[in-house]
Amino acid sequence: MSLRGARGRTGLGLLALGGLAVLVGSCAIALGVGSVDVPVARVLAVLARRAGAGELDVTLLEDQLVWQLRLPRILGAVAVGAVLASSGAVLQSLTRNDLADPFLLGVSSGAGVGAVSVIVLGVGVGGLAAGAVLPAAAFAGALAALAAVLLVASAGGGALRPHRTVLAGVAVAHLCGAYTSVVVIMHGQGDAARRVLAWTLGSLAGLRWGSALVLVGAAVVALVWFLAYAERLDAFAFGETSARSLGVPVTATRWVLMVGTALVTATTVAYAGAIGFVGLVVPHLVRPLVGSRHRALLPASAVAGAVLLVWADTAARSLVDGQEVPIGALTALIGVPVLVWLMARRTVG
Amino acid sequence: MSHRENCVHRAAHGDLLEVTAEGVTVRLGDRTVLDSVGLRAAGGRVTGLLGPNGSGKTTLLHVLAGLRRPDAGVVRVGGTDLRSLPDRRRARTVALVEQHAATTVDLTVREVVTLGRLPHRGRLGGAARDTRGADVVEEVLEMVGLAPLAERLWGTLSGGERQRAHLGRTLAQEPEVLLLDEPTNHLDLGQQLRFLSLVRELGLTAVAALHDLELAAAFCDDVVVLDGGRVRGDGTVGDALTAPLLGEVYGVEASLAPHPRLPRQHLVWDGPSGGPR
Repeated sequence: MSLRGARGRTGLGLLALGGLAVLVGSCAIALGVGSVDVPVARVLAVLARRAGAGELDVTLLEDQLVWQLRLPRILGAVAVGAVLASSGAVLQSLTRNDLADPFLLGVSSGAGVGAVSVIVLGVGVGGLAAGAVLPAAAFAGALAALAAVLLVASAGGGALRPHRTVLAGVAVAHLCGAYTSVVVIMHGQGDAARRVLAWTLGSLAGLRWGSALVLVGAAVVALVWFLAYAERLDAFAFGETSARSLGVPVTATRWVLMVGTALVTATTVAYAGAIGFVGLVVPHLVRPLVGSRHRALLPASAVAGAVLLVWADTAARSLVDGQEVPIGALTALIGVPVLVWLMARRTVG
Repeated sequence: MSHRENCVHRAAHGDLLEVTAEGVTVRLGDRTVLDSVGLRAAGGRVTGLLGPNGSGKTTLLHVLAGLRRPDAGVVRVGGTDLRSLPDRRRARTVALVEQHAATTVDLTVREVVTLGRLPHRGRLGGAARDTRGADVVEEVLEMVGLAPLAERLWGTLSGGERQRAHLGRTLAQEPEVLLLDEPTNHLDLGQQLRFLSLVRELGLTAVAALHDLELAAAFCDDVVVLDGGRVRGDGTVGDALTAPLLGEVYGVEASLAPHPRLPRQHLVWDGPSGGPR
């Protein structure tokens, strides 16, 4: 296959159709797979009945599994994958750094501070179920860390220069990591350390319709938002001076996109933990196929990220009976061989 | 009228915009990078910006491009204060070919040239308003001789091809004024001559920072010589590049002499000032 052949309009159109077909197919298969397998025909019957196609012969168990448990989780996986991968693509272009990922601005480590405070110290649990408090605490932690990073990074004139921003992100992440380690070591009781580690690696297990719809909303907002900046992101290819000479307001664009990616990423982290690897690597996997123009790269990254997470999550909940495998480990397990294969073919790196 | 015809037509009618700088001063900390620099680049002429390393050429080009606000002074393009132009309008007026603008992003030549259409598109990046965009890109690819390489990836281009792609990107901006920052660095002699010939043929108002005095003598109409952030001489090539000035600014014994075969002057050097002959 000619890797550059897809850059033309028809090539990209076909690829878009193919990508969406793979995504929908993956979701359909994932709906049937799990602790109890449901045949595709029964999955479709459940969906058709819920869509108002009349009283079809569907058992309560099938409806419960497919509609109440698996579908919100799969929609959540699609949304989280789309957000992380497209945010990664945006940040890699904005900072001209291949190693940039959606957690660049301290979002995951900040969320970790919030999560650990709830899991280990029980902050704010009084009366409320921990399940409701955890996302709120993680989101608040993420926002606090983001604010700290932006404050440090913009101290030298507000331009959010990439190197300074990356450095500020690393500094804040280490501070948050120090807090997390100390709290777990000094105050962790029972399986606290294991629960913190599990949260850190991410999981979509807790997703129900309410949280799934929030995530889908975040993904839609993110894609529309990022796509509006697609051409301005293209202009960053040759650096800041070049972007400015093309009339792009560089500082404003950086603020809008860095804060934007951080907010949608924080939303995913609040519900699903910090799922690594997707945002870092999916853009690299997609570029050889669709090229580097963001009008194609951003949606393609979103679809590829969604497919990766749907499969990783399906594996997470069905590989081991009665136990969730950390999804962050699985995204790496699935994605790394693909990356290595592409590196060997010299289309990446 | 096509892009190229438009350039030629306007050059013939003398209505290409001139660029002037008055009292431009830029400070970096306690260092004065540009000290009350004045410059006039006449419409349709190529003005060479000369001076040793660190004399302020790049900074002055960035000020002329509106990318850097001077601490004092004003830049006018066709009489309009550059600061009064919004970003996108400015990018349709002045375009800059940067020094070593490199990328690891694998764009095709056509995609790089298409970047130049950005200031002509709608604010939200819609292509709707830029109905001429695709035509201009094709025409520019022809002008810079890259039409056969339009689908080639950036990483596979030679230095000369990259510089022509950069020039193509700036031409796609359809600017009134072209600024070039040492555009022939790292090019071999043939590539240097072809690149600067191309720039001359465009007939745009151009200001080019150049390292090589011989190239400046051959391709510029006028020159401005900077040293330590101040203008040390300006005028036509013949008037400005005098032996005393070259001695003071570059520390060389050199002067212009008639070209043995062409009706222009070229640079003849004897050696460093006071050095062995």
